[in-house]
Amino acid sequence: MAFYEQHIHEAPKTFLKKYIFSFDHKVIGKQFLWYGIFFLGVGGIMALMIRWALAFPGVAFPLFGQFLFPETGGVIPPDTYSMLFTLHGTIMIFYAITPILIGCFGNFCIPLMIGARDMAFPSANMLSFWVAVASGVVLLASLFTPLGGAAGGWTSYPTLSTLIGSPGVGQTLWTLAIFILGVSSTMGAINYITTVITLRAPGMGYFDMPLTVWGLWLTAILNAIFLPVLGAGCLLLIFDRVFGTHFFLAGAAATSGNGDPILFQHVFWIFGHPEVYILILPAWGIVSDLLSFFSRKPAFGAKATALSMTSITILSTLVYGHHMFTTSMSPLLTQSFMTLTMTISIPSTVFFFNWLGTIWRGSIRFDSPMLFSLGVLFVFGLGGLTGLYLGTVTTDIYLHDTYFVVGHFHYTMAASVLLGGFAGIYFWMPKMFGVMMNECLAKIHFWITMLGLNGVFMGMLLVGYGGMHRRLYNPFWYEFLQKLIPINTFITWSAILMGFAQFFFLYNFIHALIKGKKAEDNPWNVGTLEWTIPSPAPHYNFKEIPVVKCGPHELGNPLLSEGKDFQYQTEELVKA
Amino acid sequence: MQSNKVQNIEKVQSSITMIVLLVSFSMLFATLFLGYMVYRVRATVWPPMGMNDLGLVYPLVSTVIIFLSSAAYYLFENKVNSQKINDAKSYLFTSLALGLGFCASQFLVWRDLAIRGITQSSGVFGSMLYGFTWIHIAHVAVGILLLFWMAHKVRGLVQVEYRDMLRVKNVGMFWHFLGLVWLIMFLGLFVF
Repeated sequence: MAFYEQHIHEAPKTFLKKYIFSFDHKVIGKQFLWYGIFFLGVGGIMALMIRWALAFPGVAFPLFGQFLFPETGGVIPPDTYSMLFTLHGTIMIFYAITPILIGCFGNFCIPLMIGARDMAFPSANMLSFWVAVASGVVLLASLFTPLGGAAGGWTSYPTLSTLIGSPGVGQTLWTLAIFILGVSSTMGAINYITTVITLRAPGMGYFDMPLTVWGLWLTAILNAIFLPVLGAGCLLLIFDRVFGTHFFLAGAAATSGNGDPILFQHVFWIFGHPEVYILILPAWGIVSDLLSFFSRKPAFGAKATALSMTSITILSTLVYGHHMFTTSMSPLLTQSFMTLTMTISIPSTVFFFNWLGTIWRGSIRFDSPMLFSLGVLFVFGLGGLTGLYLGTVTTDIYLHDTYFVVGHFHYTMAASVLLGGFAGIYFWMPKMFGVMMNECLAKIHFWITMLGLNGVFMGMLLVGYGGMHRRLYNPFWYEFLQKLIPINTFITWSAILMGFAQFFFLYNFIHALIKGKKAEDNPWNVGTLEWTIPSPAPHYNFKEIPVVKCGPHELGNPLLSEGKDFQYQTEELVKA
Repeated sequence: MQSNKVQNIEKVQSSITMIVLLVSFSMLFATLFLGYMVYRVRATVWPPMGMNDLGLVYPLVSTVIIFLSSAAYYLFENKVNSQKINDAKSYLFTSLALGLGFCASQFLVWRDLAIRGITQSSGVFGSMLYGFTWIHIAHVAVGILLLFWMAHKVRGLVQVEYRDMLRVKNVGMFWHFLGLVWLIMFLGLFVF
């Protein structure tokens, strides 16, 4: 329930205050969206380059290969290949998904959906964006250093990331960039947590919040707790690289005494496993809401879904060891981590069945946000099931570090989050920019993306199961892997198809911004608070702070008057 | 004048924020101590060869100084809450001066370690001694900037408003937290 009512601030008048250094959560949300889309493009091109090298080893990369690698005649060299997969992972996780799902939707949706006029600390919010920009600049700058960017993988395990494995300044800048981004995300997280606790509209209990807000809030809690763990690891790595400390150096690498490279893995995954949920929770929240909205039915077991997400948040902090089964961990520990990992299946199944329960016998409207949400249901199901093999010690020993792992985490973290992100963009576009996107183009975008995406990630599962290791420049030097060349070529063509599909989105998005159809205030006919105000949302959000009288998913109530199948959260619940 | 209700709300809001912020900082330092414990538990010989004599004098001086600085800040906060602003100022300046003294004492700690032949490259224990204290003093530097900011705020202050009290309380929480972290560091790294 709202602790207090924020004042209506005067509308910003200058260009700088309105678009650059804005305190308005909606503008900051959009800034994060541009930021994320830019890096999505950069990371996407890197993915295509990786795939090209795997499908056509020794063949020049088309279009700009000659320009980038003149000394090899346009062929991607091995050291560049390592940089590409390192920066592809880093950029997609920290600079594309995080800004879009957490930065954009968190900023844009939280105040609007809880009936607040802004975040609790608007200036910290603005600062958080500009610190993220600084981090992005440092990361991109690392590419232009003498020995190139970081090349130790997105996990940056020592010794690959110490001066032995990566002597250039690129890895140092990478580590610094991640640390700076952590500061930005922590600032954002503290803001989100405080905003949700203190600025909910009168009458809005925790279970009256849309599940999108639940997802974003839980993500913020995980961010605030676990990003500093990665921050500590990054600082120690920087000390090792710059000041000659020996935290992660062992054997001949340490001039005296012994550090431990494995310690970094512990620190990384204590953060890294919750990070998986940091990324996926907002998408789960969005999908949980959209499935209900477009099935014209209340969300099945909404409270159980919220509690399941909370349980997963808690359990996610206890399972990180399953990433390290092959590090000579004690069998007692591996079995404990395996058991805890399997425990996550219980709440996951609960909310997955709640999703199915929500669409069961619903009057489903196959609008683009719904299509993308159903897409999440499919790909997350696959991602979750393949995770069971990696959470089990016996099968993980065989599959560890193969493309099976790459396929699994792309299904969960890339496919689910990407589709969830697109669902959110198509859904909130009217409220963000006051325009509608073209439905036909959106559907073409969805189907081609789904086709390409499954070709890529299912193919990865197959080649991984066939024994193909990740991070090899040319795996086909090994005779037993040569039979996998055709599947790898297929994966690459699927990736090109997936990349091609994004042009439909880009065209649709830009076209909508320039001359899109003007959106109605509530084009999707849903009852959450952001749809009670004009489109696009005015700078003050709500003229009067709304009073919440019912939940966010009051749809399809047979007692409603004719011609309307939903209730706004500000309306008294219609009862018999 | 803001109503009591709004005052209470702002108090709760700032408390929530400070708690979350301190949890974040705690996780950073907890990670460092976790690493320390891992090395310590697995070490066959402790302290490592050649590090038997770390020299407790300067770390002890640092501990006393940061404790006194925290105590001075506590008295400052009490005086602010009882509207005795003139008395309060002297405690704040004492706390600030002691904070600067703590920084100076840290340089002495590092110099003393170097004289004893322990550098950041002297194995993992040397790395921890330096690395952890570097990270801590970076936070202390932020704390000192906050104390300067506080000194600027209270310089011309005649009447203490509730927002001033909130500021004093929040900066105090951070400052005491840093004192506590140093105490754990002192006991863990230097004493035991």
